[in-house]
Amino acid sequence: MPWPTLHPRLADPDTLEGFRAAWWADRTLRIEHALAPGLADALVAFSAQRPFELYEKQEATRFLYWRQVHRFQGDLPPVVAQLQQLLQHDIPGFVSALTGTAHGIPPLEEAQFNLLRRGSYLDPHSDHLPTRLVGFVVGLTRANWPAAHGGHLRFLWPDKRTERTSWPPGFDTLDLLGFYPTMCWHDIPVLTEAHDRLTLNGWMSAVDADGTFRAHP
Amino acid sequence: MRSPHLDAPEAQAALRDAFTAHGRVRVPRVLDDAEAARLLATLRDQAHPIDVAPDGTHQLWRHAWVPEAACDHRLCALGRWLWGDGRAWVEGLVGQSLRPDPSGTLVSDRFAKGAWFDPYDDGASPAVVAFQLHLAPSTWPASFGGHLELRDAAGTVHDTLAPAWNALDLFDVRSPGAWRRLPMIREHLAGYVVSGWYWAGPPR
Repeated sequence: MPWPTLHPRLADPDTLEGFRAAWWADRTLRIEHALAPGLADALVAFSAQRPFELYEKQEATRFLYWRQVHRFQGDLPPVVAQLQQLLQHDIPGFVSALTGTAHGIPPLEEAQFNLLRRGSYLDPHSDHLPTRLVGFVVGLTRANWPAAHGGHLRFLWPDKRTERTSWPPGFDTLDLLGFYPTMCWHDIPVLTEAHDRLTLNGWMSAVDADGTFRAHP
Repeated sequence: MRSPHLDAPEAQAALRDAFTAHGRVRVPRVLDDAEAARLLATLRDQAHPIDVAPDGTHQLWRHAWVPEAACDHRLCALGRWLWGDGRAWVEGLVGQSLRPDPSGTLVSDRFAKGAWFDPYDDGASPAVVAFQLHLAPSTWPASFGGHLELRDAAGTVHDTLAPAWNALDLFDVRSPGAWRRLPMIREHLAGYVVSGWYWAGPPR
């Protein structure tokens, strides 16, 4: 099994081919039942046992959410070791197979759960940086709620206001967002009701044969 | 500090009648315009750290202070006015003797995206009059949030108050069921509201 923390069917060539077609259609993709059976529940249970700290970015683009950081140091608890495997190896490996381009993440020192609670939001922003080619969101949110309550990931047109489409929170989902060649604007409107949106997020670069990370092929 | 137009007897009478009839009144242009502008600038410079209630009943960006007698900071001067000359003027409007909240505390809340508070019963406090001094340079539609809801115990909304520039809202909180709720602010907005309570003073 090439990616032990992902669902085994993702390694099936026919399944992968189906995802590939969807990905190349507009370089966004949501995969349901993405993680190895039981892992999403284990991650939620693990994060629920620990406190989250408030993260408030009050610059031109403002973010307000809660986070929980787990450093990859020393003897890792089994769930944290799985987190490292998922983020550092398995998601980049899957995306490499999906896109046909080697993807990777520079060695991670930590993993971070992101939690949007009532009153949390992400202002319109682009994740387009030289070191980012594909972004991912692992959905760990069981609850569903209407978009009017906020907390849905919105894809925006370049005016950074008009919604192109939006995705509700997911559970056991892997969302992939391509940042090249199309610039991609997102936001998460403020959560007006008492819902919790839990995710793991990250970004991948392309990797050259010599191990150099770069965004653009 | 108070705007001169409020010294006119007819203006005071109109405000007094409104408070008596509705249990609340909004006093427009309460401060001298230049002083209101200076206060806004001071509040913009003042840190308003986020205050998240552990029980999830509010999230506010708030600065609290107790005005000091010898302090020349503009917020202390405002506080001394609200607890002193301003209070005496409010007594004339509400028709009863008042004294400052014994804690002496005033709070300033920034109209920040993500701020809200759930319904609470203002009538449950020993205060008799609540006040809110609005310093919002412009107002906005209710759909952006931040319009104060005046409710009853059953949750029925009887009125909403939009943020305003240089306006003082006075509320009679003696009747039970004076519930307030701040709907979630959904946009980045500008402005502050300074709040406090007057308690019943000695008989006049």
